[in-house]
Amino acid sequence: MNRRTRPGQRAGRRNHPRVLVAGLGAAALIAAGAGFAYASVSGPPSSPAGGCLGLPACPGSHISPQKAAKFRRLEEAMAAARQHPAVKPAAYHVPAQQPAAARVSGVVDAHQSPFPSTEFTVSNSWQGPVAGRWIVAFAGTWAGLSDSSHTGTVALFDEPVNPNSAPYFNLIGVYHAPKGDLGLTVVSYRGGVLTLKTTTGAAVRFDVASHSFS
Amino acid sequence: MISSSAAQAAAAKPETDWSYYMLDGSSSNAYTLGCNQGDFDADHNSNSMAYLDFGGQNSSGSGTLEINDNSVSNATIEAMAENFAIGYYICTGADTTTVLDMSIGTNNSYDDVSTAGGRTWAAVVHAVQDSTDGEDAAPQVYILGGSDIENFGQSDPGGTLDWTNGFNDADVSLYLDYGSADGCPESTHSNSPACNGGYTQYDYWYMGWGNPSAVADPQIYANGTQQEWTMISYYGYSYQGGNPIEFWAPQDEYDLNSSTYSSSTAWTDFWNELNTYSATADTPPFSNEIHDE
Repeated sequence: MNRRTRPGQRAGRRNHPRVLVAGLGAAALIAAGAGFAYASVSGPPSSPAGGCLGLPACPGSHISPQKAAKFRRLEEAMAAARQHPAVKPAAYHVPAQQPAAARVSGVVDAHQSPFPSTEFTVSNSWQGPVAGRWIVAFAGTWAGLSDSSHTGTVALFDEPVNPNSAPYFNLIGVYHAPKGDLGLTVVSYRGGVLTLKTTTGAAVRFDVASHSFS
Repeated sequence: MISSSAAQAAAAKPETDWSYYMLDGSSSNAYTLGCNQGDFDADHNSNSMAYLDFGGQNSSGSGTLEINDNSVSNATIEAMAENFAIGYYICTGADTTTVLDMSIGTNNSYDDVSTAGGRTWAAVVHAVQDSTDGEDAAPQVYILGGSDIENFGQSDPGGTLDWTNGFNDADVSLYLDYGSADGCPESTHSNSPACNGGYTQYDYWYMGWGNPSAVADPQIYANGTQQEWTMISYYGYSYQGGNPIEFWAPQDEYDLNSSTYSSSTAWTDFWNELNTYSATADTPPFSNEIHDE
């Protein structure tokens, strides 16, 4: 299993910002007060390709009047926006942001992970620095194993220690607990070792650096 | 009795659009991703649909916990979504006709899975619609809400149903349900047996289509998922006044997990399953794949 992103898998979607020009677009923005500097063109843009919210057609006639009204309002909003034709700016300055705060180590009581819940039901997670890497360890129950007696699982990911660095979130590995552990929950972390609780209440230890249970 | 339609070749798959697990709070990165989608759509003269997943809402309603356990505020989410939209708008360049359905997404795995949480998320969506930058992109970007609605080991769908109703009550936009229907029946559509965690076919039908604000981009990751969603749609046809789901796209995760369906397989297998039955016959307008930011 490989959950690493594959930048550039499809040219045109990633990794080639076209007009992100710090500062250069500011004049156009300032001229508009706030927002873009619109200038008149000969007429309004044409309608979206296709019919309704970019769909080839609006949903069938059997949809509820309430849903139909929501589609219609979105369409009307776009139509109204198109009544003010504009020349798009050649460049745009993304407003400066406050740097993100440093990451905080600890147990997180959330149930999401990059895995679908059909595959991995997350009890909770722990995150923190380990040997110069920022580790996120999801604990829970893995589904679909041929031997269902050891579904307790830890899934390890790493990401930049500095939250202002270019983001990544890479899978290190998925580790199934010894037999008899049907599900795991992180209790604590100390000295490179996660202490986890099984569904029966027993304690299990997981060495984050060596990826091994004890 | 389930009636089948005649076998036929699957419709051609549309271009597969990229959605994202957002991993930080960077508006610049969001701008770049939106720009790339705009470039692509202008080059291919195609419309697109993409969601930005910001993870679960926190208990205070002030922000979310992204999928990598990174916390972001609602203001940061709004800024990122605005810049994704602006990136799309600007980078379509001379093209003024293509459009993006941009969904600002959360999930139901964390806190604030409630009526109040749905209203809070609607307020985030509304803030992007109303912001100066969001309005600037309005000629080519529809701004929607969204949620990765899954069972997440829950024992009761009540909070999630409340969330969808809270979002709907705010009446600001549609929301995209890009979740899964774990453990739902694959060959029956009578609302029984239940799916995982006490969820039912009705619940998934309602949260993905029956709710007036809902549109669906289901996870079609492996064999069984296309059958689950087809039966949910069939349930809508049979028991909800002839209302099968008109799906927006099958979603795959091949880029993150190459052991799951590719976008082509997700499209073909989902289309074939939907069009096995006249009651659920459908050709989604989009194809979608989740990526890390």
